[in-house]
Amino acid sequence: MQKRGKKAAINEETYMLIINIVIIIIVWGLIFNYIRSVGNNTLVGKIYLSKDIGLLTNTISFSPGNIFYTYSNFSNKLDITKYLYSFKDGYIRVKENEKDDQVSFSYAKDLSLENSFPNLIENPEEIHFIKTDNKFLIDYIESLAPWTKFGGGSFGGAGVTGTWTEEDNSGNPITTDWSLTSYLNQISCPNIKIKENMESQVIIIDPGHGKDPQIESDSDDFGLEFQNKKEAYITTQIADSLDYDKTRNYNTPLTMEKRKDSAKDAHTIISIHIGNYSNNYNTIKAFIPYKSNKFLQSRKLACNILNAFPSELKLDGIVIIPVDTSTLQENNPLQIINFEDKTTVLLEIGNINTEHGKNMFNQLSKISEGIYSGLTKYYSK
Amino acid sequence: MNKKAILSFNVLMAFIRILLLIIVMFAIVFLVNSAITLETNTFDIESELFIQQLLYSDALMLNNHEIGRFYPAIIDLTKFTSVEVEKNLNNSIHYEYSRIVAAKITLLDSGGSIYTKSLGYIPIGIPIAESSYKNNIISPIYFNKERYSQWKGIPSWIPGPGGVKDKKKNIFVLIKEGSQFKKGYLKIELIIPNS
Repeated sequence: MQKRGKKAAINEETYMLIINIVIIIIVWGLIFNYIRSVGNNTLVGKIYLSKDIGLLTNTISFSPGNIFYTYSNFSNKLDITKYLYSFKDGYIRVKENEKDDQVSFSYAKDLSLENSFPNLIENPEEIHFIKTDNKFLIDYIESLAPWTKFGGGSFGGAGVTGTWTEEDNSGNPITTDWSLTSYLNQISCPNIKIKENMESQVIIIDPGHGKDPQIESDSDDFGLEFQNKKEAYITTQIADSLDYDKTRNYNTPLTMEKRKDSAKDAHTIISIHIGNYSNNYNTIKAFIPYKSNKFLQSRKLACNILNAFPSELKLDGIVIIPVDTSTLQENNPLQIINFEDKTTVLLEIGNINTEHGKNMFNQLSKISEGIYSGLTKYYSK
Repeated sequence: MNKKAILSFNVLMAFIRILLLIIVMFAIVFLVNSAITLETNTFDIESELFIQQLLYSDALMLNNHEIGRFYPAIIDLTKFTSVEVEKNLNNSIHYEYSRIVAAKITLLDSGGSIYTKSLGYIPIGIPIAESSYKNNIISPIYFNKERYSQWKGIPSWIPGPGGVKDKKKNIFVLIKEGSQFKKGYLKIELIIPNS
């Protein structure tokens, strides 16, 4: 009897032990599952990213000057490629899929800027914030892996500079440099409205170089040194490609007084010169008259033209230079912009002595297109 | 103790143990949940950023369009006293639907008193005889005025959604009045809701 009781007690202890083990396994499983679900929770990451990007948008929007900011995995410890980003209705939304609307953060816009934000960015490698030329735009790159096929070509390099390779018609690779920082070569233009229509305006183009009226000769080329002849040829080509009246022709000698006289009925004058410096910088300078009633208009026109030159021209910089034209000598080339009631700009394009300058002057149509686009933008409502 | 009694005692202990285990398990979940912060507190950044936005806003500050130069923290009194200053400020710091910040902006002189315009400014639409405008007081102005009045009454110690946080800051500024530059302070009292 005592033996049986002992056996029953042992069975019961074993039974209880098994129950305990089962309970421990269940509890361990539940806690493990809970901890895993906490670890996999993306809500914190989404909240963090929405606030970070929203506040970054505000910061860049209100910072003075030109800014190019690349937001990537290096900007924080989170993997930004896991999510979708929507900039819509004043909110930045960070999503796991298109229907996910759980997390958002509002950002402010400066309405004096031209804001261009994408509705949806899917799994970006980099988000680019670019503020330049009175514009604020957000752009992105989906993949920056070297030699990744993308839109008909492939990227080499990473970050903001590298190469872009496409195949020509014969299948030969053409590699060109690309630079996202070219956006920084833009100037903020005065925020003024131009009431006049482009069609109703008299626009005159002044080729800055040409035959010297001081030297008499029958020859077409006389009076022009080789370098000057080249500059005159280039300015004439640019002026001819723009469908406006000109102050002179390449081989017609004219004094500054007569050039000014031929522009007296114009509303807008654009004088074209070619830079000739011994340094290595290929820049475009726009000279405008400081003491003019149309100073702001001239500044806006200069700014619109400078911003319109394409990045392929590989400029080292653009600049607007206000000039006091009241003390200029009679034959100074800047006399052509010395009008009080006209919108005037003297462009000094490139540097003929640099490699980039020489390449640039082989693409004269791009220079003319830049000038024309700038003019159109200036008169656009 | 007989066998039946021992069995029921063990079963009872097992139930107590299971109950304790459940309590401990929930305690762990509760502690872990309370330790995890889902919300990132960005009040200090948001408020400081808004103050910087004001100091760099074209709606209040001096901007020389002729030379293309902007002067942060130099108040252009012509802009500050404009009847459209609040509208201009709203266009400069524009939230499309939900504005997450409201502020009262007061211009003080170098002694800390409310700045009064010395050139004889009388706000438009206000009778010259109005006593409160005798000294040509030109501020405060508001950003998101409606919400400011609404949120002003909420104590800042109330936590969570529905609550607000506030901040006051005086920033040293120069005030351009006519051709003169005077020293002063921009007093900013801002309120940001918790959610």
